[in-house]
Amino acid sequence: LISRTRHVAQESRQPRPGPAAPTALSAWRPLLHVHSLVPLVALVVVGTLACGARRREAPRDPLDTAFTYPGLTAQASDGRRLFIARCAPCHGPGGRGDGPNAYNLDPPPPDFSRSLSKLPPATVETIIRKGTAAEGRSPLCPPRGKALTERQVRHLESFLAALRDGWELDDKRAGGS
Amino acid sequence: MTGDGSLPRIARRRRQLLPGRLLWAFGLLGIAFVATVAWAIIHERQAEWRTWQARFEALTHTRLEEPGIRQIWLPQLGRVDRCTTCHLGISDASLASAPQPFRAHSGSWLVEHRVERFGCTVCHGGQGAATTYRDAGHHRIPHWDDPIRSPELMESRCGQCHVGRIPPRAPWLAEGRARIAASNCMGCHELPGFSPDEVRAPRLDGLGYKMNPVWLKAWLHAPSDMLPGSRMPDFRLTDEETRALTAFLRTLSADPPVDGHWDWDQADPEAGAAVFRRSRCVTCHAIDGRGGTVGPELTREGEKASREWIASYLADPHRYQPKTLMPQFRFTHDEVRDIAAHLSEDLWEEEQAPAAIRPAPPEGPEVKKGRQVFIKRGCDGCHALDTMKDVARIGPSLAGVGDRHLDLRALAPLHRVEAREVYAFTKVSDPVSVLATARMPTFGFTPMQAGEITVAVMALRARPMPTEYLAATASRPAYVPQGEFGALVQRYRCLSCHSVNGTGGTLSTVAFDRIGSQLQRDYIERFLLDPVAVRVGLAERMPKLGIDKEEATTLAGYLSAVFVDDALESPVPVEPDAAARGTRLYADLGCRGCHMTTDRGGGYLGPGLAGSGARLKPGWVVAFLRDPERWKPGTLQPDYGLTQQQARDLTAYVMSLPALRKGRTP
Repeated sequence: LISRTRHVAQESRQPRPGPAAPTALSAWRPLLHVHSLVPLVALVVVGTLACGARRREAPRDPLDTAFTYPGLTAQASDGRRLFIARCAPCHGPGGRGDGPNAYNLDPPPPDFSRSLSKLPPATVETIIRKGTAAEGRSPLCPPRGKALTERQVRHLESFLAALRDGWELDDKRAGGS
Repeated sequence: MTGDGSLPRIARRRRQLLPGRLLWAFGLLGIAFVATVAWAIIHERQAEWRTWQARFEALTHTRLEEPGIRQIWLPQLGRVDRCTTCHLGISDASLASAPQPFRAHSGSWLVEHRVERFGCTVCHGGQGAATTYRDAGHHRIPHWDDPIRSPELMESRCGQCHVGRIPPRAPWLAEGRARIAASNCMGCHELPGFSPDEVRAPRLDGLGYKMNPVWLKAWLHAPSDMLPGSRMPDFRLTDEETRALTAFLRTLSADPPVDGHWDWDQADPEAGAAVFRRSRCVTCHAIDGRGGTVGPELTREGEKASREWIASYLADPHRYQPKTLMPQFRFTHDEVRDIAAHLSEDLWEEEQAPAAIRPAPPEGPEVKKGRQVFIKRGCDGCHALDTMKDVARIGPSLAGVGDRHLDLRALAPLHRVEAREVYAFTKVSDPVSVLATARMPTFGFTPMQAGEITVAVMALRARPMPTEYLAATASRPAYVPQGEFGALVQRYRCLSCHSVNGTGGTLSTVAFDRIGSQLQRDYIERFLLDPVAVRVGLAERMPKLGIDKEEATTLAGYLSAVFVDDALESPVPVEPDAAARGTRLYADLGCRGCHMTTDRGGGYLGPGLAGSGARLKPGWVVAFLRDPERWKPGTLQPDYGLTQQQARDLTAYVMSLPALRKGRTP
């Protein structure tokens, strides 16, 4: 049922011609023969075209991409900020397992670009929420489920998915921030 | 009513009066009118929102009790929101994964912001009175001021009520406000919520004695070429302007350096370097890009200032810069001389500054012109001059910029922008890209930094929020301690790094708010005398200020008597097996990943725990372990969901850990 409704929802975003529209048009058609209305019609047509043309050349909005890192969605970008604050001290900013605290840890944190592809998403989520101990591993990666909101967990997951797919920060384009 | 045959007669007469074509036109117009009315009725019967309400009923297998347009009217906010006509499940948690527009609102936002009180558009934007998807402004509509924007930009609307510097759950807004404060935007612009007193920049009254003219000229031309981490923006001065401004600044001759009988022959730069390291100056001052950003970068200090001036400044910084964040260290006369020698001898790249610099005489056309440049570019907005008072700020007021009328064509002739936030973003990113004659300097913000600032600026609305909507975090007056304690806090500038009740510095992780309930009095005193960081991994460690015994006693006594939280003071009963149970818990939870308990092994993200028994108060440890986020939002300490018993066991273990041998940091 849900998928059907979603389909309907997408359909409804397009401007729907009202069912009464053909009636209205046929009522207007005889009037088009009246010569006095021709300039008016021409004005409306030209005006509509002009408006349409104007809208097409609207400039791209630089703010659409200001809050995202190159190559990441908005969700994953927020996830990266969380990752930097909460995870990078051990996992390193790029998830390579090279954070400043990494060498104190035994077992050491893994290189996400290799290890994440072996983990099903559900396991990743469990580890974020309940820590590695919940998956029967060493307890060194602590639970974050209580400190993060649902939304933040999802965003962190989407950033981890990007790391799994080999995303790397291009320092020059991101300005190093 | 009329007589038989009268109707045809009138018709005949009409036919004579009206030409046939006009009669046709009237007939068709009549039909068109009827058709339009019919279309309007049918259109209304099939209105988009009716479709959505029918679908909602089908989805939930219920019937709406009151079908029809729903409306939240908030006269105080000037809002009429009909969004709930279609967003029918917005406060129904069971519809958390329903398709839009029926999905429940994410997170717990509506718990704190009830729909009946706040409506929708005051946070989300959009056109509340609309009843179609398109008209509601779900997407950007050109030239329309208040469409629904991305969640990041939406945070600007949080800022209408959450006027405090660190608004809760709005990271971009918080970053933006911090960046505005750090960039001294309020030096040139009127910015509600930011006081011109917050501007941090040196006063220049004695610059003629301090600065190497060669350096000064190069610096004014492009500050970031000289020091990449510079806080001073690039004013894009021409060579001529640079020369004139240099000439003017060289004439500033207040505050001559004190003749300290420094005996420079005796100076030992190496000893100075040792004091520099021991005092942990890098906590605030970076060298070669490494170190803090609270104070100016010192990488090329020897090129910039004369050693005579550096020594005078170090001996009494508050004489030269009364508003500086730098504490007055208790250096000896020789230490001051040695540090000055170290900065002067060792920290330069191209050309060392002369040992003593004297101001130039205040005359000549260059000086006059330089003074004009100084005023025209608003230098005095940040760099106060005693000889130049009450000069108007050069930037326009930004009060209400979030919704007052802006003529974007006039403001940005070079760059066609349709929305005020795009204008703000473009201007902040690169002022000359929108206006060739812009006086605003170039800060070189990254797109993300410019976006943060845009969020914070767009929160400045002309339409005032009713007072009952304003969040309680409104700007608090800064904490100004009094008496003997206050004088010491002033001297050592404790509040440059430590915060109290949300005001003060943010560099230190230790807020004073409840420090008396967290740390033992004797420990505070010992720490003040010899600050040895318990966090080995921390770069920003407390500087060694040279606080003496009597001062430490005063400070520690006041801190532990006044900054107390009764919720933490309840005694923790000690059970015989608690420490043993705590030991197991410590291992099972993986605490060693971040904490050290001996001089080897364990991580160093968290504080070392050896000797905690002589440092911490048990009530605090229990409370912190149980709910870390409550006490330190954003802390790395995980919330394990410990029971009270577990937290007590763990506390018993931590408090039992012996101190390390003297001289070994944990």
